[in-house]
Amino acid sequence: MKLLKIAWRNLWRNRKRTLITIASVFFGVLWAVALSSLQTGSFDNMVDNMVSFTTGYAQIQNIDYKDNKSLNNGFIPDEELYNFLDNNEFISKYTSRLSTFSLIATGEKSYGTAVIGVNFENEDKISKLSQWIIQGSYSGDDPGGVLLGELLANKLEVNTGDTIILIGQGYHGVQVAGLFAVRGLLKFPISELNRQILYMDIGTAGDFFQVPGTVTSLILMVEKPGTLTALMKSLEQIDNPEFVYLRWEDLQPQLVQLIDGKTSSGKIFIIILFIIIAFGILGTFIMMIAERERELGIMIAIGMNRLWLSLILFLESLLIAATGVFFSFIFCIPLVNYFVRNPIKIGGEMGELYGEMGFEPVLIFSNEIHIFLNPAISIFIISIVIAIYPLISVIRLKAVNALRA
Amino acid sequence: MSIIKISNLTKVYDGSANEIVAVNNLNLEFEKGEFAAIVGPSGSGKTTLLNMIGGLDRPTSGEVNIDGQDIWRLSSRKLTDFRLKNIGFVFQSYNLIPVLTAGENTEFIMQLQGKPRNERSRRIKELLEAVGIADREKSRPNKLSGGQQQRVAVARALASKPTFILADEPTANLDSKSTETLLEIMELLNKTEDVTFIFSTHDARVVKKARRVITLVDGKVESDVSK
Ligand SMILES: Nc1ncnc2c1ncn2[C@@H]1O[C@H](COP(=O)(O)OP(=O)(O)O)[C@@H](O)[C@H]1O
Ligand SMILES: [Mg+2]
Repeated sequence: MKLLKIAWRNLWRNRKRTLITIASVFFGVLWAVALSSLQTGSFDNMVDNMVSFTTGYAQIQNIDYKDNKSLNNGFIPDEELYNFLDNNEFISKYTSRLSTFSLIATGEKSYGTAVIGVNFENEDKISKLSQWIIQGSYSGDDPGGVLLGELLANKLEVNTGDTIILIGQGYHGVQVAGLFAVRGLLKFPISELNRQILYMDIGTAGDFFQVPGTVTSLILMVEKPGTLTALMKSLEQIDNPEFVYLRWEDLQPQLVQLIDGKTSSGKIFIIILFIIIAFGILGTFIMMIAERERELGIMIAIGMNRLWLSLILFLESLLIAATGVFFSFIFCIPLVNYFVRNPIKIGGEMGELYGEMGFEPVLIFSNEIHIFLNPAISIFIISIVIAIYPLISVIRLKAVNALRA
Repeated sequence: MSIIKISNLTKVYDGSANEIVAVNNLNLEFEKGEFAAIVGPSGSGKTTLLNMIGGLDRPTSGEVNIDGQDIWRLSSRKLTDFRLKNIGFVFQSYNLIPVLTAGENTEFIMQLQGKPRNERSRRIKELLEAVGIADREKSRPNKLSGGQQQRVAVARALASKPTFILADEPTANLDSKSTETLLEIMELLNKTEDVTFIFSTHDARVVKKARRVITLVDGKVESDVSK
């Protein structure tokens, strides 16, 4: 159509100005994509680290466990449930845990500690628990061996090979006590954990607490965070009113808060960036219309409908946006994909700091579709909103005045 | 039969200090096929009159009847459409859309009218030949001389097959050679296309070509002479 041709040619009447405006869109989109790619990538990675380390992406629990984390509110998974988990396409790994509290003692000292019954082999595949071993061995032949947090062991003055006593409450409050050999010590990057944690085999724990076969939660992992919603949907097929299915967001609200806080500061930055771009485009339009007043007057005089005339100006705005976004994508998409495949390694002190915190010292990028779509959509919305200015100018334009100018 | 009938037409501009009566209670009629010049000193109301006839400037009072229709009773949208279908315009200068070639400028108005492609291209050829710049069809206005630009403007004005063409000082920025050429072209098209021309001027050589000369002074008709 002729209108598009006129719009396109109009853009190149002041080549330099148009190029500068397009460049501002180009850099704006580039910046926004880079920022949100890095942000999404590192948050996904952080979440992956955090949830692997702690809650998993999702959990199956007894419906009562959520409010009362007692052994009494565990459940015994049946063969059917395991089959379901084994065959679920979204689940990459899963494991079971039995969590409770107990008193841990040696001769004269005693402290409270968390006791977590795990399947050592499966647990390691998910939380890589073995990486924190600083003494002794992660797995062993003795089903009765336990792993202790380093600080807890220090307080109790025990080492690998020593024996500790656990005194706790089993099923329905029954008193239980037993002797366990310390197989190894763990040192986590979070000292709070080191102070009060004990791992033992989940079978041993079940027997000890008189809840054989019981788990308090099933920990589920997905390959890609994006498939979590699909997984949650598929869990509904289990159709057991006893169960509740929780996402990591439910299990770790602090993590959600942390990410939301960081994301919103990133968003504010991008919003400011786009406001600057918007004013740049608007400025271009104000100048363009001022320069073309006579010409617009002539078009109206010879019988061009004002709406069509506005459409030309609207198309000009859209074309600036589209050209900027187009070149930005040509540049960004391969770049982001390259960095997704080749994360940037952080060296030096910064890298060490990351390592100590238990994170990989790399900048991870993401290429999820929204990273590209959001800035593009924002730019198009901006260009549409800005087109209101020429629309109003054209509707208000008095052909006689424009012609006399 | 007259195609344009102006009755008691008045235009008053509100100046900040005083009112300016640009056109003062004017009565005029134009027949089909006329080749009429409106002359008068600068400020006598020529442009204002043409703009009111052309549906561009709203009269303070009075009527402009074209084919029996009082055009100033039309809605703004209908009036735009009326201009598109019935009136051709040639302005003093910078008439053309700069980003369109001579051919496209001529075609543009036919596209607005929704004429089919083959009819458009036939008419472009015909008109550009008539105004003597068929070889510059692909040139943009900035590559054309002032005289050539005005000839394209005449071609564009004719493209819509209007009832009449209003030309406000079409030769004001042209040298005498170009002025003569443009006038000859307009004269010829007035006959071959059977279209009415009403043009304003204060150039004596242009006045000589006109078959009717209306002289305005202070917004009033001082004389109206037909040859
Ligand atoms: N928009 C306007 N506002 C105020 N006065 C105007 C305006 N346009 C024209 N005039 C006045 O109206 C009178 C007629 O002007 P115009 O029609 O341009 O005359 P001409 O075309 O014969 O030179 C002049 O006195 C001019 O100053
Ligand atoms: Mg004038």
